[in-house]
Amino acid sequence: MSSLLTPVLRGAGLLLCAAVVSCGGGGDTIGGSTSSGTGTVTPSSNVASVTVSAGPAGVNAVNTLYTTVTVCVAGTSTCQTIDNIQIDTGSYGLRILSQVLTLSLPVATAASGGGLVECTEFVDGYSWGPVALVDLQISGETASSVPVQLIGDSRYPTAPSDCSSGAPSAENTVATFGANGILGIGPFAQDCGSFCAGGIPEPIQYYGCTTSVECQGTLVPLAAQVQNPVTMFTTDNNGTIITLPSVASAGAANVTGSLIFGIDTESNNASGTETVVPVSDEGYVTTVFGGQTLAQSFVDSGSNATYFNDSSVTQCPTSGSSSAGTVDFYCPSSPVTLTAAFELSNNSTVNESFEVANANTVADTVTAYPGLAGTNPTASSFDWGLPFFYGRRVANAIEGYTTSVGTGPYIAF
Amino acid sequence: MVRKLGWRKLGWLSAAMASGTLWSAVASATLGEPEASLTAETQLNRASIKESNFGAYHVHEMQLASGTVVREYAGLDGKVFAVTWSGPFIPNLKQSLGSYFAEFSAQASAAHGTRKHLEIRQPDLVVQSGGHMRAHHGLAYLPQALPSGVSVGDLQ
Repeated sequence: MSSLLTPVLRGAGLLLCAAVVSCGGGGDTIGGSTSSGTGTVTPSSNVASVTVSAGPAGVNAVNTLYTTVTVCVAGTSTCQTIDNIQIDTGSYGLRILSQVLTLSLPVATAASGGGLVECTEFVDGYSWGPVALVDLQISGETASSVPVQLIGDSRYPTAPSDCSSGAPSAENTVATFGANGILGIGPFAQDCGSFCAGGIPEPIQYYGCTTSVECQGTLVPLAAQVQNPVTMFTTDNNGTIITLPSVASAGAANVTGSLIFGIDTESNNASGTETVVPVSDEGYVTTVFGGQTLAQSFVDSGSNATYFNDSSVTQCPTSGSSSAGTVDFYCPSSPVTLTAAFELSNNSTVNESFEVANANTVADTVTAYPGLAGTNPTASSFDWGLPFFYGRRVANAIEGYTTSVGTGPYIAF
Repeated sequence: MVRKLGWRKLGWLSAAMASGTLWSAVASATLGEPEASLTAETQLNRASIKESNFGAYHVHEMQLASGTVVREYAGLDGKVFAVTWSGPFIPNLKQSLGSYFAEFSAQASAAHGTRKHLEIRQPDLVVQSGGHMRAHHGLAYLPQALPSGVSVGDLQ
C-alpha cells in the first residue's frame, strides 16, 4: 500500500473488531497530543463531549469527529447508548448502523402504506434502511419520537437498483460507513425537505415497502422525514456550536472538544462578534480562492480534509493504480499556509488562512491532522472540512431560526 | 469561476411551450450514445429543457423535477460526450452514463472516496462528483470524445 493512500484508506476502514460499543476509538493512545486552546466548554446540560478519534475499531479515521448518543424505544425507558457517532454538519438527521443496535425498533409507516425505508445518497456511496422513531438523548438534551434511519437493517435486506444509480457502493456496515452512525446537524431541518414532501425525486429517496423487497417511491411529509434532531429538542433547538482546540502541525491524538446545542439560548452559547456567513438554499457558501469565486463551497465537519484546487501546491506522488476513485492529497515538503476568503451577505469578504501539510507523513498515532488537504473534484467548490474547525468556535444556525446575529441558514465563526 | 465560453442562449424551449412530441425530440442523452437513442428513456422527470448551440457542440439543459439541473453536451456527430449536474440530488447515473456506468461502478467500488468527494479518472472516462446532502454537483465526460478545441473548463 502506498503511503499516498494512507489517509484515504484510514477513512475507508477495515473491520478488525466485531464487538460494538466497547471497541471504540479508545482514549488510551494519547501520545504526542499537542492540542491546546479553548476546545472544551464547562459541562452543562446543553454540551456534549466530542472527540477526534480513530473511530470504531479498524476504521483508523483521521480528522473525524465523534460523539455519543442515547436512543430509546419511543415512550419507554428501554435505551441504548452508542458511541462513535460521527458529527456531520454536511448532512441532516441521525442515522445508526443496525449492526450496532441492540434495541428492537418498529419501522415507521409510509404515507403510501408499508414500511418507510430510505435510500440515502452520499457522493461515494449509498446507505439503505428503514426509518424508525426513537426518543433521543444527547448531553442533557432530549427529543421525543425523532425519525432516524437504521442503516443496513435486515428487515429490508435489498436496496432497489435505483438506489445505487447515483453512487454505486453500499455503505451499510460500520466498516464501510466508518462510524457506528452519523449525526447530521447542518443548517437544514430535514434530510430532503420539500423535494420529498411535494413530489418523488428521481432517483427515489423514500420508499414505501409492503414486503421486505417490494418497495415503491412515496411522498413523505416534512415531519415524517429523517429530522435534524436539534430542531426537535425542547430547548436549545435553533442550531449548534462546535468548539475544538487548535492542533499543532504535527497532529495530535484524540482531540477533545464540545458540541453546544442552541445559539443565544444559554450563557455558554451567546453570539458575539463572529463572522456570519450566509448559506444558500442548497447548503453552499461562497469562497474566493486563487482569484476565483467558488459558489459551491461548504463548511463541513464531515469532510476529513480541506479540499480545494491549487496547482502550485505539490501533490502527493501517484502510485500505479492511483487513478481510481480517490482525490489526490497534497504533499508539500513543509507545511504551507494559504489564504481564502468567505463572501458575506453584504458582498464583502473575510480572509481565513489554512494550512496544507504533507499527507504522507502523518504519524500512525495521529487522529487530528490540520494540514490534511486534497484536490477537489469540482472546480467551483472549496470544502472547508474538519481542519477548519480546529481552534475555532463554529456555529450552524438552522433554517428559519433567528439569533441575535442573523437568521438561519448561516454559519458563524 | 472562469468560463472560457459564455452561456449563449441561442435557442430556448420552455416546458410550457413544449408539446409531448417536442419533449421526446429534444430530450437526451446518454454518454457516448447518439442523442436520438434516448427517446426510450423516461421523460417524466424533465421539468424544463433549453438548448444552446456553441458551434462545435450543443448543450441540452434540463431541470429535473427533483430540482437538479443536468446539462448534456453533444458534438456535431450527435453523440453525447459529457454530462454535468448540479442540484439537490445526484441524477440517475445509470441513465446518464449508460454503458459507462459499469466502469464507473467498478472503479467507485474499488475506491476509497469520502462521502463528499469521488473522482474516477480512466483513459476513456472521467467522473467527478462532489457535494453533500441536498447539494450535489458533478461532471462526467469521455476524454477521447471531446470535440477539437473544447476543453474540460468549457463544461460547467
